[in-house]
Amino acid sequence: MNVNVTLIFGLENYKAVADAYLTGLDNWHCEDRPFAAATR
Amino acid sequence: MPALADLQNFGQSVWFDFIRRSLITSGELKALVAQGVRGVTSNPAIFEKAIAGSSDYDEEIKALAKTGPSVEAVYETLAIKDIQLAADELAPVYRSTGGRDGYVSLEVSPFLAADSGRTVAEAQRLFVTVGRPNLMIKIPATAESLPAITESIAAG
Repeated sequence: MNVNVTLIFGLENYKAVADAYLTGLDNWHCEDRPFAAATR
Repeated sequence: MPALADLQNFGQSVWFDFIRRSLITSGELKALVAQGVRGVTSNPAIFEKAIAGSSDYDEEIKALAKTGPSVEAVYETLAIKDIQLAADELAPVYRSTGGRDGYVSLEVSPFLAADSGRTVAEAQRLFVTVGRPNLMIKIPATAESLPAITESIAAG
């Protein structure tokens, strides 16, 4: 699934969303799936 | 080279922040893509403006109303058809860029923004229902939706 995050206001929220995004990629990679397929 | 297309040389991708049935059926979106537009975004407010502010959907709404669906079901039917049509227009961009561009976005209902679990389920349902690889699902960045962002990305 391709995800677009909307309605981000404030630096703290940007950091929280970035952390959520990176954690999602980590979880994806932990299942032996290539980053390239998740970050096209 | 059109100015929009030239922006690609600077690593910029221009997305069109509007959608309406006649934009697609008239060939206007195709022309915009030819000029360099690389994606389309939508949201409920855009669809409200498109559906209530034009006659583009009148005949389809009349036909749908005969079966007695909910207002939400009518909205989703109209919106998903627009998203599918737009995604098909942008499919060549999606393919030629290896999936880096060429997306159309559709937003999960903001009524679910405080419920991460239902947001994830709705995101997956919409992705399957639209059935286009170049669909991008929008998730509102509420505190409650942060787990939904993580889970949806991890799901692939």
